[in-house]
Amino acid sequence: MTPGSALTATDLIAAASQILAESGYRRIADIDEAGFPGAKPRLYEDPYSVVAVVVYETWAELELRWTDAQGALVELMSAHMTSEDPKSWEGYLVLLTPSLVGGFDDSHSQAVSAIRYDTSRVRKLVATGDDLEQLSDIERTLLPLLPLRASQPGGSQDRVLEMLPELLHTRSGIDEKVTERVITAFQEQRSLLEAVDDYRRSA
Amino acid sequence: MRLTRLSLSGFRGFPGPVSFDLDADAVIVIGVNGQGKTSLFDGVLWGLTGNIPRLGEDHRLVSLYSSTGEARVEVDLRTSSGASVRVVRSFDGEVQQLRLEHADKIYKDDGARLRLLEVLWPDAMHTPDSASALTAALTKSVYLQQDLVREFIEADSEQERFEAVSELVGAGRVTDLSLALERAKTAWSRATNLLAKDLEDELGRLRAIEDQLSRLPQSEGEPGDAAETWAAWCARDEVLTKSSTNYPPMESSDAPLVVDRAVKASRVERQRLERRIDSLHELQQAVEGADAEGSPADEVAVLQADLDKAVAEFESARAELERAQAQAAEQRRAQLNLHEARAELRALAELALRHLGPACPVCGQVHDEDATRSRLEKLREEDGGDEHTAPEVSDVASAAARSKEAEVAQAGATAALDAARKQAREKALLRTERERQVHELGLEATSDEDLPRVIDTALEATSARITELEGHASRGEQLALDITRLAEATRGNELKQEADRLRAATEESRAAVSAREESGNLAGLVLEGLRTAGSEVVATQLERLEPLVQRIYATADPHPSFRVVRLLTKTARGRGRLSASVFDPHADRGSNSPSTVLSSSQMNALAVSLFLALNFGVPSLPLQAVMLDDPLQSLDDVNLLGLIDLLRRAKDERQLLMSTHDVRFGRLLTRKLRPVHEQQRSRVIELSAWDTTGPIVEQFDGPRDPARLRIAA
Repeated sequence: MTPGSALTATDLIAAASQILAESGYRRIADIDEAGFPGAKPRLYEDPYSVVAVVVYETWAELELRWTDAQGALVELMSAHMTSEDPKSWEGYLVLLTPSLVGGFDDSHSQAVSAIRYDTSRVRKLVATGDDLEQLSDIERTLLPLLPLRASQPGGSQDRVLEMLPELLHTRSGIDEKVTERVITAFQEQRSLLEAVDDYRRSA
Repeated sequence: MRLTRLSLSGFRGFPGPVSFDLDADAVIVIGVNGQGKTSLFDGVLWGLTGNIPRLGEDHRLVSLYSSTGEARVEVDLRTSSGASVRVVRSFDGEVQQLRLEHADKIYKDDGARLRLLEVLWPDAMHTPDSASALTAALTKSVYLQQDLVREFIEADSEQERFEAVSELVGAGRVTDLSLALERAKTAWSRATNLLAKDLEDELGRLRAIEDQLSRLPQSEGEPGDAAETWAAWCARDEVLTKSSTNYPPMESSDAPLVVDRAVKASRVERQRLERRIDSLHELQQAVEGADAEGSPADEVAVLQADLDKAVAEFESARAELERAQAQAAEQRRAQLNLHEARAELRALAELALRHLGPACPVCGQVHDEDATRSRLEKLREEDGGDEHTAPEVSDVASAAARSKEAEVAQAGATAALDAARKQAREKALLRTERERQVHELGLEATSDEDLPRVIDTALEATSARITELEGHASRGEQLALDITRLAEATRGNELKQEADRLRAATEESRAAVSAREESGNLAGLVLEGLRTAGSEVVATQLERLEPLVQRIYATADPHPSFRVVRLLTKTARGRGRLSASVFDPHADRGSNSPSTVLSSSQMNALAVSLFLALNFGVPSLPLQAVMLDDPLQSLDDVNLLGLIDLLRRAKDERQLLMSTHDVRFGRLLTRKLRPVHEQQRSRVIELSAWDTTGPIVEQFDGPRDPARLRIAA
């Protein structure tokens, strides 16, 4: 048996399923698992794409069977859409295995890269036990499929000022309250020195 | 804020007018190189900022084939609240003009620039050069220019990159705060210094007062009857000197002046009276002298008689002298004749003697020769003496002496008469003068004889008044001393009160200055902290940004090994530096110089990732948009797909404008960035067949996916 990471194949498929579901993907329940021999497949769809998450127990199985999984995914998509459909080009095959390949020679790493760089038919996202040490690594693998979240629009650069009291206290031992008063006076366009003076009187 | 329309005319690759509908979530611009893709993006940047740093001067923006000779750009925007904003910028080869239409108002030039900043990116207004800050914000986080994709990582120095990112993450606000606090501290110190100077002035005044107090005599209390004495003295002064028309109370500050004026008036009056006494004495002496002397008229008459007599005597003596002189002259003529005859006889005798013989040689007569000789010799010996002369001369001399005496007597009489007359005139003048003096002295005498009595009476009265004035002045001087002492005592009390007030005030001021200095020192500590905090804030912000950078980089997933990207910040001498590094977590290896370990394709993917990370991570943006001018050059397939997937996800958060020179890739983009919701829209702009009128422009909506879910539905 190939040595593996702390995460099991069940962990991988469960985490991937949860992440995709929380990101707006809808699971395709009715699939023919026979097309994914030796694997635990899950299929998902969102408005942009169709994603097949396939987990193999071993790297050897993954390396041996991934093309079968790709074929099954393409076949499934072909069954539901024509080549004119924009989505027919939007298939993603996520290939996961908890087993490690780093202990092997470079040919294994090259094999991983070969799968990644093979952009024919569908895009492949590949992660092995070397990449998947904890659950967050699964999300990192799925990032190309997940929505981006920008900072809240309309935010103000004044937020950086909120960092100053703690920063000045930590670095220079300045009481956070005096810095807060200075910042408030600055934001309200009042006298900064009167704010310092008020603090000193009240301290 | 999103772009909704762009109109270009005479701008770079668009000589003629053309308008682009940009009101879409994704705008894909497709055209082979040289068709105007970059001009379109530059139009947005120039329209909003008036500046394209990589191109330099504005005259390079004007199309060589512009029919008007000017470049004109209109940018339409829509705010998050749905309001429309139109920015119109033009350049006629010399002057750039700006107009802004917003909320039914039109602003021009400087007003438009200010309003544009307020609408687009108020944070720029906190920076020293707001126009440059806006341009930097757009070029560092919104518009990734084609020529500068890799330069985004490679060309900028670490310090320049840090400063540019600093503006984006809000370090400028820290700088603003620092500068504001510095200005406030300077003003505070200036005001504190003024207070300290006032305090020094107050202390100086206190020392001066204490010095005055030490020189003032100790108070001996007010004179008991001073007020009564003052009232009596004033009443007397009103009679004696009339130096004032109003006599104030003794405590009044005018009292010393009144006394001084009265004493001076007394002195003047006394001097006047002393002169009157002198005049009276002179008059008295004159009157007494006039009484002792006789009448000048009588004396003149006597002297005139004496003179007449002397004149007569002188005339008589002079006549006698003339007669004597005439007589003496006659006698001298006779004597002369006699003397001449005797001389002739002597000569004849001498001659005869030489020829004398017994007979006359002439006539022959015989004669007594001896007797003749004797007589001849006698004639010869006579010397001509005249005994009758002396009495005649003596008479003349006597007459002359008498005449001289008479003349002297006449002169004496004349002189005496002149003196008498002069004396008479002087006496007349003296009398006139005396009468004037009498009048001036105000003496009223019934007669000359009464005048001495009147003078004596006046002398007594004047002396008595002088004595009284001396006493009044003496009492006045004493009163002056009393008043001065009283004033000094009053002044001393006032000075004590003022000193007490100043001591309290200086203590209060000293405490206030000390408190202000403490506040100033505390502000200095905060300021010192802020000076170094700016870079640390940026570093902290970048640390917070790093997961986003990492996520975006991982989404693009450009490298199989270097899967981690880090933003490295360091601060030296208050200046921050920023660089990107890539890291292989499995091999525990990394590089702070990504270009040495990444291919060109991977570097482009890294640059776009960092750019998007800034776009997504900074707290505020001028535009909620991402503009990428043909960024996907030299990308291999896997990186291309990775970036497109990334951009498709970015489209949900940002308006995406992207160009490509690859028509096949353009179609892929059109398909990948297709609308998947009813509210979404994508636009495709195709540019082709450029000539001197510009490119052929085709615009159409991107195809919409009719069914969102095909399998899971």
